[in-house]
Amino acid sequence: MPDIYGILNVARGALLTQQRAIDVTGHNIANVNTPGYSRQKVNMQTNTPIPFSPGQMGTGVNAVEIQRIYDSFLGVQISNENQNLGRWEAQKDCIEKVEMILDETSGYGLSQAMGEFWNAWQDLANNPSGHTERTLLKTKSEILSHTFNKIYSDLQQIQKDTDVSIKGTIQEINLITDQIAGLNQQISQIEVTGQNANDLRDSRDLLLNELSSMIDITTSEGDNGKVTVLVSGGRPLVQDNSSWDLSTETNVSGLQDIVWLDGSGSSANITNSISGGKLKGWIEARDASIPGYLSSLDDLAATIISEVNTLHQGGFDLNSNPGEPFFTGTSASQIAVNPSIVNDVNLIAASGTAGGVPGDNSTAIAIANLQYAHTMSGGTATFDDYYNSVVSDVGNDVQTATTNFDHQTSMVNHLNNYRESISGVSLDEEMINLIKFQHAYDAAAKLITTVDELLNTVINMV
Amino acid sequence: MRVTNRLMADTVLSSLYKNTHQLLKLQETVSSEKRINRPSDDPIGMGKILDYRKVLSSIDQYNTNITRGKTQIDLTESCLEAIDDLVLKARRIAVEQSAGELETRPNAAQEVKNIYDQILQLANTKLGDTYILSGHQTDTAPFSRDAGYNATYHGDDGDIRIIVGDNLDIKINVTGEDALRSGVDVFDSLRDLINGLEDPDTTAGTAQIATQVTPLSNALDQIKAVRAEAASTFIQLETTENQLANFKLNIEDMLSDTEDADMAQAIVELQIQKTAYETSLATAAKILQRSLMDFLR
Repeated sequence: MPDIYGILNVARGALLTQQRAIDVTGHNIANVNTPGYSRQKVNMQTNTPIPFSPGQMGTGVNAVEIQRIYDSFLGVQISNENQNLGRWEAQKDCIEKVEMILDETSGYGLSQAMGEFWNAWQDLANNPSGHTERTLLKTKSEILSHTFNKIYSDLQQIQKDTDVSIKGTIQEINLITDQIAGLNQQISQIEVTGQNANDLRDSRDLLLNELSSMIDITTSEGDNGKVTVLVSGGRPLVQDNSSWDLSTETNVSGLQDIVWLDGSGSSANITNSISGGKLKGWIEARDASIPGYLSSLDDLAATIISEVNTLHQGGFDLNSNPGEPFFTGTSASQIAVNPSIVNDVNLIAASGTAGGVPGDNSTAIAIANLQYAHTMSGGTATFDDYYNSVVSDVGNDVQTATTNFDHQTSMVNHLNNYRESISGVSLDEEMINLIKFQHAYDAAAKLITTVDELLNTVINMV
Repeated sequence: MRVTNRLMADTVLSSLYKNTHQLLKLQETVSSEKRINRPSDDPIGMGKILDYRKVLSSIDQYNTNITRGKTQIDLTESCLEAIDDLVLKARRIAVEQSAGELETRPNAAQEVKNIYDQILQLANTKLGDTYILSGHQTDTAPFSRDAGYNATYHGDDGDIRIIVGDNLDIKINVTGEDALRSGVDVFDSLRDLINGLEDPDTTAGTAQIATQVTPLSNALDQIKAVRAEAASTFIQLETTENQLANFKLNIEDMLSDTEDADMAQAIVELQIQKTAYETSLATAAKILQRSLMDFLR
């Protein structure tokens, strides 16, 4: 009503509105360092004007909503890039461990062990009946076998370690999806009443971000403000107010597969359909990269075992008996020197003929020459060529993962910076807003004082 | 573009991270003096480094083998040289005695017997634990004789070989059979000489002595031929040794080229990076400290 009390109303509205604005500014200032916080602002609107003379009379200001400044498209982009970042980070960490195990730069790896093994055969050829040379050969052979065993088991240990990480991550994912489902419910309850659930949305977005670095997800928001989170293959993790859990089960290789539980007892194995996030990185390293290296090691060990054994069994030892198998086992994890040779080095067959003992060293020479023979890769590579290419492969894989990781990191940083520039709190800006609203508040208070004086005048008129 | 405090802090932080990461990498290069500290630094280079190391280790082993070969050939040569001198002496006695000096015959016989035993001992020389003239039967003395000065060869004709290169092995031994028995049988010749010198029938004895001169001359030629063969193997080993020495230098060069860091360049880069880091730190300090609140009163 456009009279003195009307003016009082306008003043009161102004006071309250500016106070709200200062409130929200204070909230922004308090949360300047909160991760995932999007700055909020009060939307002010003029009240409905009243038709009066001489024209439409404005009736003051009203705070209609508290708005969150936020770019939703950016959120989707960040989520996607986060998935790739998580994947390459996990893969890089895993394969860097493999690189450390091969330990070729210090010169004490398998390459040296093999070299010393072949050299020991040459030393034996120089003095086939020498006890020292035989004992040295036995020692170098044992070192070679142990190196193979150790590298193989170390690589398998990395696989087991990734399983521990996978299990931990699955538990985190389950916790997060539970929280998101809870937030879904709260947000929709609040927004049904027409208000914006700004802080809750911020929390939910933060959780979704975290989730996206762990596993590949697709998100979509329904009209009721609830977010649906789908995982590989269209299976829901969060829908409406409920969440589904992931779990692990041991597969035939003794490693963990990731399964999605549908809540009514059955599960679906989603290990192979995961395509992003840390889980993908770990699975890729554990199920593709490392098994490749393991099988190359097995090939190498198996060929060494069979080639050496064939020649050794065609030779004769110091007792003029045909040579026994020099190595036992058929793979990198099982390769070992024949225990009877370990106990009696005279059983090492250096001679090529039964009658040529002890001076004949032709078997020792033949075995020493295996290092130059093209025994690997279908007859095109020597043992050293083959092993060197495995080391190069590991180096390449680490390089690829590192390059992708660096690229992704700068992508995500760039997007995060962009998000920060839109939704972040600038203290300078808030300071100025504070001054702005404070002045407006002061002015509105002055208006009330003026109205009070007007009323006084009117009352004292009579 | 709106720049918030967080944005500035994050940007400054990420450039500091970049600087320190580079710094760390350069520091590692300088302190290890190697350009390649892990396979992922340069996978192809790493492959080459492993190759070169293997070649160097092989070369060292070949040198060991060659030394072994040269030692045996040396010893064989000294034995054969001494045997050569002894056979020469025996031949001279045969020549003298075939002229018919009957009084010195018993002495001559004793001398030839001594020569026989000395040659036997020389032929049974050992290098360490192994007999060098026995072929493959290195634990058995190659020669022995009975009371009638009949010699038996207990060795065989096996080759002792050493590896001097990729799939390359060389024979380094001489068998007693080749040197002293095949062609001309030195021991049998000496035995006949002894029998001739001790023959009570001096005429028949002299005739027998005379028939031993030619075989003993041929024996000298035979031994010389064997020595020449051994000598040429020795020369081959020495040549290989020299080639290996040159090859090793080349490979070491290539290894160093691939693996080693250019220290001057690395240190200069380290300095540059250090300066860049200090600059970012100073800039960070300047811009992060100021805000509007310092000016509002």
